[in-house]
Amino acid sequence: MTPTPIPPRATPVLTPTPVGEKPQYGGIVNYHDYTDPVQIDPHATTVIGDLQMSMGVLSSIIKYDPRNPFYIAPDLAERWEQSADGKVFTFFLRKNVVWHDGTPFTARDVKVSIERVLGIWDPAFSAPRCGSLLKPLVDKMEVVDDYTVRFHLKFATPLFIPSIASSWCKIASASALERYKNLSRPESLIGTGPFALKRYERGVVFEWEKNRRYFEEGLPYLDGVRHYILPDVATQLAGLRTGRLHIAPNFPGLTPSQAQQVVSARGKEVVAYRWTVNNMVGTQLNTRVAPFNDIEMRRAIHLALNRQEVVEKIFEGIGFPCTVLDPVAYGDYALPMEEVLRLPGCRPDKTADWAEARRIVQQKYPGGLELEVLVRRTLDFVPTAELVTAQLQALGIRARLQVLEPAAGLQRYGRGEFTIIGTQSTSPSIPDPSAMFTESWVPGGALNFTGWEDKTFMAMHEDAIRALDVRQRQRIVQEMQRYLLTKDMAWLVLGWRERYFIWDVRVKGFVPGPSIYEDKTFTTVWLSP
Amino acid sequence: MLPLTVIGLTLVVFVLTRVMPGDLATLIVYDSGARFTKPPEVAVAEVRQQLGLDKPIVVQYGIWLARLARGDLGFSYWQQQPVARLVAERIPRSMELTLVSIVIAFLVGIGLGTVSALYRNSWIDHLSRLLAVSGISVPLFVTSVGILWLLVRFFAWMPPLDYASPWENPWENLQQVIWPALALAIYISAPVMRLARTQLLEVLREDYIRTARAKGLAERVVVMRHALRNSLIPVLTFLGWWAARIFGGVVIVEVVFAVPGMGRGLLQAVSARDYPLIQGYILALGLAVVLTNFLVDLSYRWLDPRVRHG
Repeated sequence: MTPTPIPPRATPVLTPTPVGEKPQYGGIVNYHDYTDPVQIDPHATTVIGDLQMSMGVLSSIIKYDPRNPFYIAPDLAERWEQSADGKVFTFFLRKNVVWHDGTPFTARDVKVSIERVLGIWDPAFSAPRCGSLLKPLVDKMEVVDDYTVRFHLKFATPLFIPSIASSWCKIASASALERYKNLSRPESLIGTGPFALKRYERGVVFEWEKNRRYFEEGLPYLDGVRHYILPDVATQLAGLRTGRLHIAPNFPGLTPSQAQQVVSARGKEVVAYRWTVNNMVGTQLNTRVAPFNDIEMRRAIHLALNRQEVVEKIFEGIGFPCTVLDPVAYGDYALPMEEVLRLPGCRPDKTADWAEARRIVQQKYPGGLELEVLVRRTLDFVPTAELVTAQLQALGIRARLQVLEPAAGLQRYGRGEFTIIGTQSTSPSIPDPSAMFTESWVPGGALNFTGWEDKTFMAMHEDAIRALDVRQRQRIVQEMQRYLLTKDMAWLVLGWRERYFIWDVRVKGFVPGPSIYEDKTFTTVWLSP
Repeated sequence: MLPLTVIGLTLVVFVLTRVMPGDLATLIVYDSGARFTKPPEVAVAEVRQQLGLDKPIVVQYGIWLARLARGDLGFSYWQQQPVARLVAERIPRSMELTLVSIVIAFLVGIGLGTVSALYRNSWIDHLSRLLAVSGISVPLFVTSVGILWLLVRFFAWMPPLDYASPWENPWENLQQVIWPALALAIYISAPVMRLARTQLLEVLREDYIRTARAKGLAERVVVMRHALRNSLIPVLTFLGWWAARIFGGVVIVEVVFAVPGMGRGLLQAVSARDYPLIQGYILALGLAVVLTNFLVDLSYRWLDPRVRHG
């Protein structure tokens, strides 16, 4: 078979289904999860491997449209209204919805779920993703009647709609929550979504089956989706090459060489699609301890890091170096790459940056500097950290890499027992630019261990989450990126990955979205014969 | 000795899970988001208290041992299910894989070893020894990935991803188990072949073999009934000695071939620092090693008349 070259990055596609092709009913799609779900409660977890279990099982009040995940569509609410001052949202819920166990869905279910993520239903519970999205925004929520709920916001903000539509904020059955106290058990995942959880064998597979009482008429098309749990990359690739798997997920996604293997083996039987992983990879500096409690030393490392080399060697040439926001996922909110690549620290010609970085280090540490670079053994973190360590050594720093098991790493990072974390990545909860800032540069972000706090930046962030005018918001967000890249930051961006999606040509209606968390409900996916 | 070995095993298992770096409480705090409602160190301390991890290790061990004596292996922190149920679900899968591997390894290893010894310094002897050296030298994960690669590359096929029980769907079960068993068998058969060859060569030089031949017995009878049977004793001893390595190998092949057995479960439990589950799996694997050695000891009575009548 002649190898088929993998295609270059496509422009955003609204639907890969050819126009006029009529969806077919039936069939089961075989998908895989790259990790064994640990915490399957979507309100409690922060990990996509966990979230996938509930993605097509539970519904949200509103959702990212599966036919075009760049837009918001009705879900449990058939419509919604916003008050003139932008601070009150009223959602009118569907009346024909039943839970998978046959009980009717009402506003009480919404109330319990939302109060749960806000920490009202159970004060001991905290929802790291949905809670951190909604708590700063929502003042109170009220049930108007059985099919109407109203949210009162603390201030008018464009963040509310993308947040409430998020997969982290799914609505669970109130009776299931009362019975099980949480959603950590498979039997507690009773939903209203297009699929019901049919079986879950831990470490092996979880399977969805079609919800025949799904409230959107005619959907879903599939009889079910099997999610095989395959942590080993060789097994994942074997599954894709032999057709045992229909789709490769977009996180962690396939590198060009891995995608090429699959395309070479299956030729025109698969579609390869280059797309953003919506995952920022960076190096974290601990600002609580020397040497990185000194802004000049943080600048030296920023100048020294060669992001182009990271993209070339680790991302296999596909990705965006240095930029604070991925230009594909964030469009006009992202600082133009032309501007990013002109900035010190980000520009491809490193001569002047290295000279300046060396000068700073020699001035501050004339006797030399010794550093321990920590990294967790997960994904491609270790090779990335090896490269970062080599770049620090080239600067004259005696850098030494220490690889930690994932759990041990988290423990040390959480205690602040580190100087520099060679590699840590994050994906923002929602495809809104301010979410990226909240989670990575505002204190308290789930994976931000730097201890960095900056009043000027925080003031800009407050403006960004309140700005209602799109153009004004874009200006603020771009200014925040300039600030981080030119003034100071402690979570230094190395780059944003791009990877390859692969799916069998028989799989139709699958549309990659701007967020890895919002495009895998399989609601509108179908299999052609 | 057996009870003492088992108690020693429980102690080692318990201490090892507690001293390995990484803390379950920290993982839970970072995974559940508890650090958002209170300082991380406070949240971690609370979780440690809830799980009883704040007690001295000796006390924790005592509590665990007391429960173990009642047949209670504890409760998985992450999976929210009794450890005994999780272990019981996976034991048969790993045992099936191990047994198939050992059968293949012994058939191939002893067969090649015998042929090698009987045709010493012939081309078949050289080839067998070369295969044995390769089998010992190549790491198991390389063999496993290699087999998978060959299947995918040349036959565009891989074992089914869904596990089928041998009682419900024997054909699908065989398709799934045979390849990891083959990888593991290559790993085991190499030393078996070398040992069988050496032992058979030694036994063939014994006086009683010369006597058997002098009595006019057919060579086949001399080899099969008198020489091979006696040469098997060290080979069986080797099985007991290698049991721990074999069960370690099960972890690798189960991961590569996506077999949902104890090995894969153990790896997942270690990643999640699910102490009760790790203890449950290691205890089960440890008991399997002890039991294997016990059975090997028993088999001496069948193989060696001197043990039976001594």
